[in-house]
Amino acid sequence: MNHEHRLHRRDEHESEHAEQLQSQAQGQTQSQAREFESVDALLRADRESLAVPPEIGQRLAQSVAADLASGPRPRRWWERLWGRREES
Amino acid sequence: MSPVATDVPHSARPPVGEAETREFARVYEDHSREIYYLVLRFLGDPTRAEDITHDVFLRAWRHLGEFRHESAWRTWLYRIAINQCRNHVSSWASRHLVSNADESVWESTEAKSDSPLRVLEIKELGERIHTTLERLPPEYRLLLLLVADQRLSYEEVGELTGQTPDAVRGKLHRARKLFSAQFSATA
Repeated sequence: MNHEHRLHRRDEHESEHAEQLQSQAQGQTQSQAREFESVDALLRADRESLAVPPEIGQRLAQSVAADLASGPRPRRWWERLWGRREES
Repeated sequence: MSPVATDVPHSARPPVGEAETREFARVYEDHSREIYYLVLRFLGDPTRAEDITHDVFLRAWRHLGEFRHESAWRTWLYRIAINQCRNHVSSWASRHLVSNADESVWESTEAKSDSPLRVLEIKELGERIHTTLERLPPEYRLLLLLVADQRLSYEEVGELTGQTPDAVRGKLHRARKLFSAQFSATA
């Protein structure tokens, strides 16, 4: 099982908007060679291949629910002194 | 190291209502991948990346309604994420504690229906990218990860990193060359 990931060295400054992803598949059991013409394209492909763990959304939902259940935050002493609510 | 929510200041009153909830869900859906990816590849720690991503969006929830444009949301989220990453890098814990997260946390491919060959290919590529990025100076690593988001302009990247767009371009050129050299060495 062979995998090739090659990154061509070229003037990245000019190629940032000229990404082309070439994928060559030859049969079900043969290797796939993927070429990325820029570092940016490589990292974008890497990002697209990663899924955001669902645990983050689940924890966030719990945190938001806890926020809503806790009600309005009590005014701090300096807010009571100056008569307004500050955003920190 | 189990995920533990960091101390996020409860400053703004959280919004209520179905409309706000829907908007927040949209913000999360639109930006979570980019934020999670940036933190994951910058720190190289999946567990910490989950913590920071959670904290970034909890702050977003508490400031919902303050931003009218997607670009403002995007740069704000990135700014919070970058600050959290830098705080973590400079913290005592990051220098002295080792995560006990097992290797399976890295195996999170987008499509569960991918073939085993494809899953292995993605995993191997991800490991090479992780190794390569770890070898780069943090500044270069950050620039490459930000520019990978095509929705960020050089001006916005400059604002996020405290430098001019021209400086960003110059450093990016060097960062890309260094990345290419290091990446080839991982083959």
